[in-house]
Amino acid sequence: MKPQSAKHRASEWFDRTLARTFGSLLALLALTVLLAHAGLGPLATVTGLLIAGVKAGLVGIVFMELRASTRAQRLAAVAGLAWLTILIGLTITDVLTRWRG
Amino acid sequence: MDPLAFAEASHHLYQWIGVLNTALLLTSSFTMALAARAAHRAYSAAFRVLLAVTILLGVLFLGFKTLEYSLDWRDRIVPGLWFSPPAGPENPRHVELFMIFYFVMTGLHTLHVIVGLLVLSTLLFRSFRTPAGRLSHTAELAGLYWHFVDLVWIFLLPLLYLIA
Repeated sequence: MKPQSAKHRASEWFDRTLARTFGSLLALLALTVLLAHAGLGPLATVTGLLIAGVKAGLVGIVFMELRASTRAQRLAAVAGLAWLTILIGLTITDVLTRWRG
Repeated sequence: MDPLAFAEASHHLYQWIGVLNTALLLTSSFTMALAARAAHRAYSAAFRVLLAVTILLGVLFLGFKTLEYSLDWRDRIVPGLWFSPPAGPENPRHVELFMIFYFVMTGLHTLHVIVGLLVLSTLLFRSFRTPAGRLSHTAELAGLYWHFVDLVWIFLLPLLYLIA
């Protein structure tokens, strides 16, 4: 079952791309927290969600193997993301457009 | 309902637990991706260890979530008859509405984490009798579900904990 090269490379199960992606995700998390306390006001929520979008993209493309998927699978993933955006978007719109009181 | 009340209400949450739990889930997604890779390349021992670490990180997430919910209960910011948030400039009803959003969204997410842990535990159990190479497809599907749970939390963090 094991590939031939396994004998030569003991840590074949490790993957640098996955590790780099993980590092980027943690860095983006730190950036999110920093920006949330940077006094951006209402912009903070928008930047927070934008960074979340980038993180979601990294998880989808690298961890969920979208980079190695067929076009149909990618289309299904994008459709799912589009619906999530609509659901969260409508929720936020509702909250943001109501007046106080 | 107005955005300022939501920002005010968001400050009642324990931000450090939200951020720590994000880090835990991101790490568990990383180890799950490595586990799926190990299964694909038929490394049974590495697969089992990585899967066990993923499960442990998931359990830690649940532990901190439990701690957070109990602190919320102590602070009396759980919606219902006992709801009595610390005095603030905002209408307590608006704070309560935010807390309903918070508990429904994180509660549903936590339910998905528990289901994910059951799936991963079953997979770990099977890996002791079946070579990792033959579990590769199952591991990939379980991984997709686990990453999805991670994805949802990635959006919950700025939506609930980081409102300014």
